Amino acid sequence: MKRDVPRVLLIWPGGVFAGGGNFGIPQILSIAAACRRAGAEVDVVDLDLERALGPVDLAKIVARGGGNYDLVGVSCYSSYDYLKVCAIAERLRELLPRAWLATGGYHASARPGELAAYDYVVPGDGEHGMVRLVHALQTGKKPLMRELPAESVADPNELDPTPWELLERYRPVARRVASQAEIYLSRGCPYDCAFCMERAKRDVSWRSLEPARAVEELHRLDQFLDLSRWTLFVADALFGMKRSWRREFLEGLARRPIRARKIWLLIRLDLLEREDLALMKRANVGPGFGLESGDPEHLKRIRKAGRLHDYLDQMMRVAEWCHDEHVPFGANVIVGHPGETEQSIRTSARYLSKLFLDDPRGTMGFLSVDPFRLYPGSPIDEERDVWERDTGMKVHRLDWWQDGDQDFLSEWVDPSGSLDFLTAHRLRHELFPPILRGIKERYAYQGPARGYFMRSIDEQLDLIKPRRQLRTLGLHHLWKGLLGGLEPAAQRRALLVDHDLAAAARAAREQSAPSSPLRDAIVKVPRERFVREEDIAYSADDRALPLGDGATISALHAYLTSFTALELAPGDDLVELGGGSGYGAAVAAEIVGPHGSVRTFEIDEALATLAGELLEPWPNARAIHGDAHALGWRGAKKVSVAFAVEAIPPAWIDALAVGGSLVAPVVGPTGQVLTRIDKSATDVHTHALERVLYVRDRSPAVVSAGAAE
Amino acid sequence: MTDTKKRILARRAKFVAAALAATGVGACASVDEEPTTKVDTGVAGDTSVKDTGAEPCLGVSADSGERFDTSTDTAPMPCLDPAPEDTGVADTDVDAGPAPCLKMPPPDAG
Repeated sequence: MKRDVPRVLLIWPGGVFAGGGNFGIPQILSIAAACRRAGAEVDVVDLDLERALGPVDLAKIVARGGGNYDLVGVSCYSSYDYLKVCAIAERLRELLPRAWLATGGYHASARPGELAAYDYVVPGDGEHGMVRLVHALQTGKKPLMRELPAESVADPNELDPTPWELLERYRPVARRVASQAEIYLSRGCPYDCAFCMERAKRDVSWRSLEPARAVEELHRLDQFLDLSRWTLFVADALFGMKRSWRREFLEGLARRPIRARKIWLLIRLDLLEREDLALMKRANVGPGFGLESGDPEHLKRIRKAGRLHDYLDQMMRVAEWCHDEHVPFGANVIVGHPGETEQSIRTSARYLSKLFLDDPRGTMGFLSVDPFRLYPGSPIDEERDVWERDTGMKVHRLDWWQDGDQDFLSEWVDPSGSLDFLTAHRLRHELFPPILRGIKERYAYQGPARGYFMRSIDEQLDLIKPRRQLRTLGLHHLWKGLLGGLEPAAQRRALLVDHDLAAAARAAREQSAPSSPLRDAIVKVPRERFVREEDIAYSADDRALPLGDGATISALHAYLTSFTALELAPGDDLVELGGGSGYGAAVAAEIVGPHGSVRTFEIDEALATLAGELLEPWPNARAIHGDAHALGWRGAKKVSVAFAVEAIPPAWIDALAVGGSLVAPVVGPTGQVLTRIDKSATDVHTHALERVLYVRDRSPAVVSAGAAE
Repeated sequence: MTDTKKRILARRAKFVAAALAATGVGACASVDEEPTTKVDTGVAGDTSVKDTGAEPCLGVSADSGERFDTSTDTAPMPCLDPAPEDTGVADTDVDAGPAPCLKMPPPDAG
């Protein structure tokens, strides 16, 4: 294949978890500029932003460019993108069988051998590698090496200005999807923090645009996008490492401000001086700091380096300066970093409480509390055996990016021999929520983009909600069983003694249980025991969950609706038809109390057996394997049916006791309607209650009759 | 293939399908999962029907996101990714908040 003017498509796949993207993808645009300078025609696609234009279809995107791309580059920036980037490659291969596929980014740089779906991996900075491929297309000489050499951009000033016009298509809709604009002014970070994967990019030296050029780049973006409605994120790994550069840039920006509401950037705490803060104030900049821990001993373990002897005192000083200058700041800590102990977490929490909550004026800062995550290419990853030996840390799922549940698996690490994952998790949720809540109450920054910072505070509070804890603990239970090869029965026994999970699940149900006089029963019954291991994380949600083979456990409110319709009360005897794993019977057993009883009929023998086991804590409830149509419940006074029927069978009405009621979903011309039958000595009254949606009757008699029709 | 291996692969297939659906690209689930099942929610109307199966094959448009609740994931966001509140379909003046996590460095070229 030889092309005088190769056609290149560069794709940003979008973040897997991030709810909102950034506008900018400057790293892709820089590569685009380099490829154009080399003589290629280049298109850029941001799949996050494409969504704002309508349904995304790769075939249409490729066709938009004429369908004749010679080279397609897909960013595999994050390890969380890995599976998606592999899947996109498969699709691209179908659409463009002759094109060369290339990938790069942090993950690709750290694990180039894993991206076998791509013809080429471009590690480190991408410009030179992609230009090499463009030249290969122009000369018709296909490179033999799959992993191209890492060639860094020694001087960013040699690069062309960012070609924002390549994102023109997205400009009118950017605000629908992107929450902040993003730009780069420098590359590299020579520090060697143990958790960080910057090292994966090979060249860690700090390389920046000239200060005047950096200011000009901000203005070019402002001219393109009109930043007056935006917050701008300077996404450098390390902003302003050199003091002279930093001062010149900030002074230049203060003299010639852009229209952004606020500029947000990350800088090392120990680089910052009072004069920097004053300049930041003038330039409308807020700084973020990777504090990592409030324990000085632990900071050494993390290899935070720099002026560690007064690092934490410096944070206190900076917080003071921020108050004086009315500059907002942010800081993060990592909880559960390898080498961490319970003592170091407690020390860190005490420090943070002092930092954020002790000043009577309130706080200008917000805090992000993050669990440790193992990143490929980080020093810990590369020296894992040393860390394991020295600290007793244990990574439970190496190569977590190869699996689903990446969010949990990336965090599933025992920090040290004295601190396991679950204890670290418990400490995080015990020690830090009071600090986070205190920050929200005392947040004192009142300047531009206050809402921007408040939302980050709210997000932190959201992350500590019981439902989040339940998700983590539920996935821990699931994966421990999967990797430990536990049989289902053993896994259920493990669940019974997992008190942290039980407490988180109950707290989550306190928040999710629908309003009803009967809601106490919903809160009390441990629904997490009645769902599949895969769904423990969602067990507090008010939604139906599958039990396998077409059976389900209904949404929380569905039980409340049926039981309320039956006026279920203490002392009642209830029959449930379609009992599933027994959850509804357990809820009913709580409502009817020790003087009432519940019998639940389940047609699936395995489920009925399971329900029998799970209902052991409720001696007033019993699971029975049987077909609802066999009428083993004849004479019942209150009957709740948990599957939909075409019509309430006359035999059921006949079996119902005089004075009894039966509630069932009935299929009608416009959908299912929950229907109550009241039987008296002389009459049968039918009441249509509300529209519902249940699984259909699975009785063999009904199914075969349906098939015959 | 063992049942455990199947379950692990099913988790992966589900994750990929959800991740691609989130960007609207669609996905082929490579592993059999639970059959697609309409489940009872007890709520009014069919709009609340959720299915529990894997995504259909490639080319589907972005769905409502109800199939897999990725929004509930504890977001392992790369550094300073914005908060999810700002992702509505309407044009907005609202910025998401910054997340100053330094656990993962911001993107560099390539």
